[in-house]
Amino acid sequence: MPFAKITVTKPLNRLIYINGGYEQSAGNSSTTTFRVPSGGHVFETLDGDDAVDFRKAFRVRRNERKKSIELDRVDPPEPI
Amino acid sequence: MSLSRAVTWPAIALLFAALAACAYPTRNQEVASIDHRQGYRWNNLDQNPLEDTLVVVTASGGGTRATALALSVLKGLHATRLPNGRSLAQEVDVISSVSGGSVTAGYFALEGPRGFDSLEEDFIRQDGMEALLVAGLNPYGLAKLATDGTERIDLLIDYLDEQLFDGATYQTLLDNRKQPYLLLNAADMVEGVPFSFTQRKFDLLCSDLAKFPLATAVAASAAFPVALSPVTLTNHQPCAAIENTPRWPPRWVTVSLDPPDEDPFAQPSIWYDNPQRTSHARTENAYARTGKAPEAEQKQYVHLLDGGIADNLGVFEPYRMLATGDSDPSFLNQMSNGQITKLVFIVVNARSFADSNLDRSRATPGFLDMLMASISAPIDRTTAGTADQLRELLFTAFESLELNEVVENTALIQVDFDAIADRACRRKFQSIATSWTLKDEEIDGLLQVGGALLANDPDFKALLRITGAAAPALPSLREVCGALSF
Repeated sequence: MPFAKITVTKPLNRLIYINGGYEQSAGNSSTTTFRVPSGGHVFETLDGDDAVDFRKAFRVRRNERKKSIELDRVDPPEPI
Repeated sequence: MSLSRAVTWPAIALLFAALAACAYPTRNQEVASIDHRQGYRWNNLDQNPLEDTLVVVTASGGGTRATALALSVLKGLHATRLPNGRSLAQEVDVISSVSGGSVTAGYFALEGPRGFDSLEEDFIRQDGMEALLVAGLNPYGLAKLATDGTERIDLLIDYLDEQLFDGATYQTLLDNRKQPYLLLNAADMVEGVPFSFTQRKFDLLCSDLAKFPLATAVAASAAFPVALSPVTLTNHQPCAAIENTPRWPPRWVTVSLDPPDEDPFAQPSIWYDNPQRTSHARTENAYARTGKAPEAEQKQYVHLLDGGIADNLGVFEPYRMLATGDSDPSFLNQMSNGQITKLVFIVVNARSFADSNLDRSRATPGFLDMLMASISAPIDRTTAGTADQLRELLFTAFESLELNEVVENTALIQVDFDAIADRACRRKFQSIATSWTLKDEEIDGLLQVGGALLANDPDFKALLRITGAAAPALPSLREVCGALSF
């Protein structure tokens, strides 16, 4: 299974949740290098009301090894 | 018993069987709400003290042979003491299993090391085959099988409850709040893919895993085709819990699917990026969409058989946890953010390889030989590729991802009869039947060889270094093979 490293450039210093895994954050957008297998992914952040306020859906092609992404604001925030 | 009564009782029972209406039991209950903070989930259990070290044990199928081998390994881990006074068995975070291995895994999750003696005395050393046959073939048993809501698999479920589980459910594990996190694995008979008993999987069926009996989950994992009937789960959709969930199906399913609102021919399918993730997601999407899908696409029932059909090592779900962010928990995420820096992964494989006269005879194999071969051969031989895939992940893929601290602190231990170099000893263990009844001498050997194989693995020294454990006093393979009396 191919993998890639993902860095998040926006927003800064936010906890990132991957693929709807709201049970536990995957890391901090500014300090964590995320590792994911190839295929589709969604990175999200949650605001103080546990609603999604930033999101990016993206695809990692099988020959990609690294990617840098910016999450887009979700307005209004969406409940999980 | 007079001849007339001997004939009359079975005849009456067969009559019941002919006359009884076909009503099937509903084995899983509808869940009230889909809430990641509730239910039997990883975060709702207390974490073991070694927080930076992940310890995973997987246990294969193989009847009581597998049950005993898995117990032997856990006893070996319990003899391995850590600086904090606990044993390595008490630090097992995840135990994942199939079939015979699931008896050990389920009971270990319920009772921990204090259950080792009763697992041996109340199950491994019992004549399980006779108990099942007696339960099924006596007049009362036959009449019971003919009644609504009772199937052949209930013979095994009832036996497991009587001997070990005593009606315990996943709620019992939740009340204990202790790890290991239990992954019992069956196989979806129609899809041919692994089905792990997790709340996330049960969410897709709008079901409550907490109410599900452990004996039923173990039996599903061990439902050997033809001999036993499947455990059938009901997909409770449409249901209120899902109607009240903001997004359905969940993202961890839909991320691996081609977007439904895009032209499917505009670009290559997402399947090309990761066939394994997409194939699995399509099955889970079918479970999740049953409430709204066209009738031909609905999966209103999931028929579960022996997990060995799809994954006889029980490695599939732990591999997913290590390789994706699609599962709960995702250990890949925890390694990326530095929570986990050390990994101990123990694969217990009780694969059999019985001698056969078939390939020394020109005669065409008969019906029963073909039937058994078609069931057993795929179960026995699919394990090799799975183990290689795991090794590639832990040592090659993780290195390329620069998870350097994890790679330097990983021990992959393979407890496998194939590791016994002495041919005669190896074939003795591999020839032990796949049955719920074994001879005492066979059990004695199995209960020693697991610990010996554990300590014999070249990575065992790495395990001791990683965990800081003291070397345990375990028998050597020479001693175990020399003491065999079967």
